[in-house]
Amino acid sequence: MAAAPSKIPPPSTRRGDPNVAVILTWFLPGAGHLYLGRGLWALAVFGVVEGIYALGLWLSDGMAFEYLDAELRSALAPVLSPEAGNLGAFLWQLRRFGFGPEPWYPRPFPPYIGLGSMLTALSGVLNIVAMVHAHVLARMPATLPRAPHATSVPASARPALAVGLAWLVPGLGHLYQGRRLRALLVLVTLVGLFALGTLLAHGSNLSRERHFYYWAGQFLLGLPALASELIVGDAPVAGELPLVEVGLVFACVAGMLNVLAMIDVFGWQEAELFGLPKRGEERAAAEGGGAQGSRTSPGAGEGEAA
Amino acid sequence: MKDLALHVGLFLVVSFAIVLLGSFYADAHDRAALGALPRRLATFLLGCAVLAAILLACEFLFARV
Repeated sequence: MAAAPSKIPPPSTRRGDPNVAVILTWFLPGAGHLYLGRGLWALAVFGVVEGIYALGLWLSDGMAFEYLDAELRSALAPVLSPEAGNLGAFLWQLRRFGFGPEPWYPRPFPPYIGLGSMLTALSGVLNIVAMVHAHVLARMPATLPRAPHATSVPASARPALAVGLAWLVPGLGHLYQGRRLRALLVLVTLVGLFALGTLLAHGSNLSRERHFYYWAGQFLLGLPALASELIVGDAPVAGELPLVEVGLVFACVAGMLNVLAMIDVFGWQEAELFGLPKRGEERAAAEGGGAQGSRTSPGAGEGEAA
Repeated sequence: MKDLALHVGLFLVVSFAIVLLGSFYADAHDRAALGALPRRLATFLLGCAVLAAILLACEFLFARV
């Protein structure tokens, strides 16, 4: 099979260094876009991502990390939480609020701490989507002609949109790409695994206060986990739960497997955008079997105006 | 014995999910990903069985109480 020419522009014509754009966005949402000369995007990303974090902090009184048991509280303990996706805000929260006033003692949580900590976690995931956008944007040519039939979604934003949709509902990113069978299989497998885990844990997994780290994993499943927690979260536990560990692991694994689905969605969209071989195609070609499916490569600059 | 069967059943469920998503990650095209699924699942289960056997042997030899 003849390899299609890559549409990635040479580094000299790119808008910027993608790694710099990603790291800047990680530390300060919007900074990567500002570095790439996209002021409006920078403002929008900063406003949305930091606004949601600020709202979450306000609702939770900055007490989300006090969910951690005293023996687990250390400088690196909360790193495995979705808030780390928005590193600047995460570090600020850790410095400003930490684990509460010392000496540590149990104190009542504010009434909306569940929703608040969900919002700060959401801010981290949204910033990861913004990092995807900054990374793709940096690799595109600095000057692009305005396409005559521009679509509503700019080309540079499609991978980020696909990744965001894939997080929101497992399989939705694949559906956006027209991969219906895969979308259905991902949805049924991951939501089914999460539902089975929740059933086995009798809903006790739907509480960040009870299971800080397992909760972080299942948060990656998006709306199914969020909606379940909002509807039946923090349910009282009466009696012994013989398979609670299995349930916790299932729900957490479902969320973590959704990250694989998100990477798959990104890889497909990236290959479409830049004319790269899709995952497995090179191996299939090397094995002499050829690759199944078509390789469509819409223009990298379609719908994208500098 | 019933407990063992239940746990093996649950292990098979989570194994299927892990291997399916792993297969989707490795192959962008559905036909290739689904075609390789039985082989990948067998490899995964075999690997887990070997690991479990090693752990049981270690427990039997070094940590028997």
